[in-house]
Amino acid sequence: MEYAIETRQMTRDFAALRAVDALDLKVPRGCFYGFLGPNGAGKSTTIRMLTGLMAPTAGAATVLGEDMATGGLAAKARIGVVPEDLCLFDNLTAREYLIFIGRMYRVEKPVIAQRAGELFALLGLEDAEKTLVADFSHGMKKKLSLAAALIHDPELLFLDEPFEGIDAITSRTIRGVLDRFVERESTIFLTSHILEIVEKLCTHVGIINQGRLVADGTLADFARGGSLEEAFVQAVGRVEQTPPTLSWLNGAR
Amino acid sequence: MFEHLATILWLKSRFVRHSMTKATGILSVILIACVVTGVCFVAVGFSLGLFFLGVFGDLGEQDALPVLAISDGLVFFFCVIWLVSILAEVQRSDLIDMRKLMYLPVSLKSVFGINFAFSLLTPAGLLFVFPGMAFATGLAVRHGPLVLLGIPAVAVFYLCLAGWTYYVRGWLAVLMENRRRRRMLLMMLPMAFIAIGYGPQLLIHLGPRKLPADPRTLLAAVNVFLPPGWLPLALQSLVRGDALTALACTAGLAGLAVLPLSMGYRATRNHYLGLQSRRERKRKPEAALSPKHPIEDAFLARDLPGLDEETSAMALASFTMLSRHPVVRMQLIAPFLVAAILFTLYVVRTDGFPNLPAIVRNAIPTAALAWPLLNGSVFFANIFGADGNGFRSLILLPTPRRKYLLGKNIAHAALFGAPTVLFAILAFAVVRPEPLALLIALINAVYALLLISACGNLISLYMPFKISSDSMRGAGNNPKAVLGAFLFLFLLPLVLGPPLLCAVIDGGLAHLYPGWWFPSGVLLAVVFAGLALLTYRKALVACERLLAAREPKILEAVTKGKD
Repeated sequence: MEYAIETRQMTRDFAALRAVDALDLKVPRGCFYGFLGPNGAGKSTTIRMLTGLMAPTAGAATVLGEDMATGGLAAKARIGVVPEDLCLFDNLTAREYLIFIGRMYRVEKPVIAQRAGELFALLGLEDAEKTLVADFSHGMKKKLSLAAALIHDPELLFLDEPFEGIDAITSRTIRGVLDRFVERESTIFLTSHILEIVEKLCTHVGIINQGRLVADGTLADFARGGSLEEAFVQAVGRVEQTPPTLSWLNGAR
Repeated sequence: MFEHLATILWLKSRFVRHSMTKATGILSVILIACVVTGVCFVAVGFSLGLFFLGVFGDLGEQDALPVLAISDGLVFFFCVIWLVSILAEVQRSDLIDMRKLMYLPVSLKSVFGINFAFSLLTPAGLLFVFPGMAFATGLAVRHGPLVLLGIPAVAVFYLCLAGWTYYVRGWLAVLMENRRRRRMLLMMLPMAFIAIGYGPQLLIHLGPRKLPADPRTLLAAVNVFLPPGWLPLALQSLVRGDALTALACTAGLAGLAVLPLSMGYRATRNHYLGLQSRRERKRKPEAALSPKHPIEDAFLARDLPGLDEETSAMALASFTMLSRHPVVRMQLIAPFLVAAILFTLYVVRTDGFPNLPAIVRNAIPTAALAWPLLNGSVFFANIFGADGNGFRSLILLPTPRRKYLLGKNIAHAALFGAPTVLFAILAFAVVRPEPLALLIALINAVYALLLISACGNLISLYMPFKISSDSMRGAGNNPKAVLGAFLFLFLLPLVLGPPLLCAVIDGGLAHLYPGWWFPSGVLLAVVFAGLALLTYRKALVACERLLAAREPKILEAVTKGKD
C-alpha cells in the first residue's frame, strides 16, 4: 500500500522529556486520518516534525514519498498546514496574506484571485478581507489559516485542532469542504480533542499517549469494540469505574 | 466592601512584586530599592531645603515675587518628572484591567477609586507634595499662619494633576484596546514628549530675542492664564496676606480636579458596560465599503523588475509588513524629527557652517548615511524578528531560502534606503559641499546597504530575537538583542570607513597636488560598491544554507514570549 505519511521510529526529546517515542505511523493515501490523544500526548510535536517545523531527535519521516530530512521542500510544495500556533503575519490584511501565500506556491494570479474569492465567501471572511490579521479574532485567524492551507490545492492537509474557536455553522461548512477534499483522493491528517468530530469525519484513527502510538486502525475497527470514546479511554489507560467528583457537590445545596 | 479593597490592594502588590522580580530577579529588586531610597533622600533633602528657604529666605520682598518664582520652578520641575513618569506608566502592563474584575461581585466605583488612589503613589508625587508642603510651612513660620492655607493648595494641585493624568491614561487605555492603535500610540508618545521637551527651547531660539520691559508682568500673566500657575499664585497671595485670591486659586484647582475624575468615571463606566456616549449615539453609520479591486491590481501581486515570483512576493510582503510596523515608522520619522530640531537650533542661528573646511564639508553627505542606517539597525540585524508567528509559514513554504533573504533585504533597503538617500541630500543642501560629494554619497549608500544587508543576514541567523509588535518593551531585556545591536554598532563604522575615504580623497589629493582634477572619489566609490555586490552575492549563498539549518532555532526565538 502507498502511504501519504510514514514514520520510522520517529522520536523527539525536549531535554529530559521524551515527547514522541519511537513512533511508527502509516497513513494511507486518500484517507481522513484522525490523530487523537490526551493533552501533552505528543500530537502537535508529531505534526511539527511531519511538516518540517521541527527535526526529529531520532528516526525518520516520509511525507508523500519524500524524506523530510532531505526532500523537505519538495514535500512542502504538496502539503497544506493549519498549525495549532497559527502562522499568520499580523501586519498583512487577509487578502494580502492569501496573495502572498499563493505567489509563494507559484499559483497563477487569476487562480489566486478566483480561489481567494471562493475561500473568503465559504469561510465568511468576505467583509474582513481588507482587515489586518492583527485585528482578527482567534476564530477568524483559524479560518484564514485554513484558507491559506487550501489555496494551492495540496495533496495532503495537516490540521492541528482546526475546529477550535470556529462557530457551528462555519464548522459544518468546513466539514463539507474536507469531505469533498478526501473524495478527490487527497489525504487529511487531523488532530482534535473533540471525539465526535473525529467520529463524524475520519476514516482512520490513531491514538497517541505519552509519545507512543497505542492504537491504530480504521474507524470501523474502533466501532466494533464500542464507541470511539470508550476505545480512547481504554487506549490511554484511564478506565475508572466512578469518575472523580468534588466533595461539596455530594450533598444537597 | 473592605474585603474587596483589601483583595485589590493585595492584587496590586502582587503585580508590583512580579514586575520587579520577573525581569532580572534579585538585581532588579536591588536596583528598585536603590531608586526608592534615592527618591526618598532627595524628597527629604528637598523638603528641608525649601522649609528653611521659606523660614530664613527674604521671599516677601517685591510683592513676594521670589515666592512666585520658586513655586513656579517647583511646579515646572514636577511637571517634567511627571511627563517622564507618565511615559513609563503608559507602557506598564501591571495596571488592573477593570474588565477582568467586572465578572466578580465588586463595584466599578471601588475599582476606579482604588486605581486612582494608587496613581497618587508615584515618585513624582513624593518629590512634589512633601517639598511643596514644607515650603508652605516654612513660609507660614516666617509670614504668619495664613500661609498654612498653602498646604491644602499643594494637595489640591497634586490631586488636580493626578486626576487629569488618570483621565488621560484611561482615555489612552480605551484607545489602546485596539492593538494597532495601541502600538501606534506607544510609538508616537515618546516622539510627542521629545517635541514637547524641545518646545520651550525652540520658542527661545526662534522667538523674539528681547524679553518684555518688565518680566514680572509676563510672569504674573503666565501664572494667571495657565492653571499650573495657580498654585504659585496662591502661595504668593498668601505671603502678601491676600487670602481671597489664594482661596480662588485653590477652588479653581479643586474644580479642575473634580472634572477629569467625573469625566473619567463616566467614560470608564460607558466603556466597560458597553454604553454609548452622546457623541457615539450621534455618529452616522459608516458608509458601505468601496467596491473591491481585483487581486491582480493589489500591491502584493505586482512583479518587481528582474526578480522572480517568490522574491517579488517576499520583498513586497516584507515591505508592506514593515511599513505598518509602528517601530519602523518611528525609526523612519525619528532621524528627521531630531534633524529638524538640530537644524532649527543650530543651523538657522549660525547661518550654516561658514567656517567648515572643504574636506569635512565633502564628507558630511556620506557621514549622514549612518544615521538612518543606525535607526534601522534593529531590523537589518534581525530580519525575521518582526515576523513572529508568520515565520512559521515561511518554514512551511517550499520556497528556496535564498529568496527569503533577498526579498527581505530588498524590502529593508527600500524602507531604510530612501531616508538614507534623503538624509544625504539634506546634508548636501545644508553644508553645500562640491557637487561630486552628493554623487559619491549616493554610490556609497548602495555600498553601505549591500554590506549592511550581508552582515545583517548573518547576525539575524545567529542572534534572532522577537521584535515586540506593540512597544519597545521586551526587546531591550533580551541579551541577544543587546549583543546583536552592539555587534551592528561595531560593524557600522567599519562599513562606513571606506565610503568616507571616497568622500575625502579628492580633497586630500588636491591639497597634495594642486590642480588635481581626476574624480578619483567617484571611481573608488564605484569600485567599493562593486566589491560590496560580490560580497553580498557570496554571503547570500552561504546564508541560504545556514537559514535552512537554523530555521527551528529562529522560529523558537522569534515566537518566544507574549507579544
